[in-house]
Amino acid sequence: MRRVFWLHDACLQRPLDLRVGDRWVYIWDVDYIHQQAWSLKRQVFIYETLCELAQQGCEVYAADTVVGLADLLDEKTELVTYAAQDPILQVLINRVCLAWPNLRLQPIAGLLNLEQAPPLKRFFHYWKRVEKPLLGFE
Amino acid sequence: MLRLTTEFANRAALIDYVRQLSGAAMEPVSDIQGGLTQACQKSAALNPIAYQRERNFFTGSVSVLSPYIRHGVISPKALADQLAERYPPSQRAGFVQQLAWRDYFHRVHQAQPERIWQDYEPYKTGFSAADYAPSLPDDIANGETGVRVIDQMIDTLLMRGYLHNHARLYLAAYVVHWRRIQWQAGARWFLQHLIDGDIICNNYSWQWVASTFSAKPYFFNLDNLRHYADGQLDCEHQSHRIFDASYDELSARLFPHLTDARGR
Repeated sequence: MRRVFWLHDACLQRPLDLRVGDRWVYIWDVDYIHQQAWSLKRQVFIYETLCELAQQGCEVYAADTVVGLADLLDEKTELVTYAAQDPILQVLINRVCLAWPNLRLQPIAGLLNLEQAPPLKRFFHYWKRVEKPLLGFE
Repeated sequence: MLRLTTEFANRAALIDYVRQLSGAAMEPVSDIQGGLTQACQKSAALNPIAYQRERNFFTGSVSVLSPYIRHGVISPKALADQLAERYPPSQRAGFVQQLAWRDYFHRVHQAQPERIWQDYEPYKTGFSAADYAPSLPDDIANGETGVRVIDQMIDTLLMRGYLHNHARLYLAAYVVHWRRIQWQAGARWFLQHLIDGDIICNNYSWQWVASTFSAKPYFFNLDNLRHYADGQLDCEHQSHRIFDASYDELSARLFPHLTDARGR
């Protein structure tokens, strides 16, 4: 099955498992940018990053995200993107998911994987738990 | 659907194109450029030993990698792994701990995502949330407070979209504790301008300063500012009298309802 990787502003990098025939796209969605209330500074930073990705094959379009993805997808295409925690971005991902319920949401690799969740009351509680695995003491 | 141009004769042409795309107002653009090439250059130049020693100083050896981490250009794990290949734990611990702060805030958020704009705990300032103004005054938004160092830091925020971490703490403390404005108003303002603006790290850092996600409020005095600004701010201006006191005196002024001693 052909795949389309939809990049968003929390995952501006070439997908690691890109295969021949896959497409990877970013959609410049002005409404979304306005919702985020980003200054021109932030927009330029993102766009500069996109320009580099485009040199490697990323396609950059301007559209409403859901409408734009509709132009790129058919029943033989799998849509893939990456999980994000930003609430406004999550709303956008949810909108896409409503339109394509089979959207595959890949996790973004965290700093470390722990079998047991660390304590979160204060940073120093957390740090006591993660320091050794993070610095390679064990 | 319109395919966008991604090749430009120069940076000015790119900036003009982006401005037209989103109808953004004319405003300054950061000298920090996006892209993996820039991120790789910065990560290659990262010296965690110098970082550990100097990171609290405005002139210190900081990485400026946060915009790239925020946008997924590079991952914190890849950075930590890269450092592990070249430095022993004792030499990379300071930088890795900063990566861990990010991971920590994200885990806190993941546990209760609906609380991202809520006070995590009550203020420990002797005031209630209702005592803080809900919106940011124009003089702060525009860098026209009349307090020289504060205006200098705001100018950097507006012009560069990036602030040294200590400058972020100073500005947040000024907004919340000297001006008694809700942290949420300041957090929204930072998110608009910081090119590394990550809502989770940003909001919880503001709450850490405000004391709604810490045991005590963070504030500073002129000696501290002078020490860490390291000549980068005009610390001798007369408008800085509001900071020129001991911590006990400032605490009594800023938090008059508290009865016990507070730290910073």
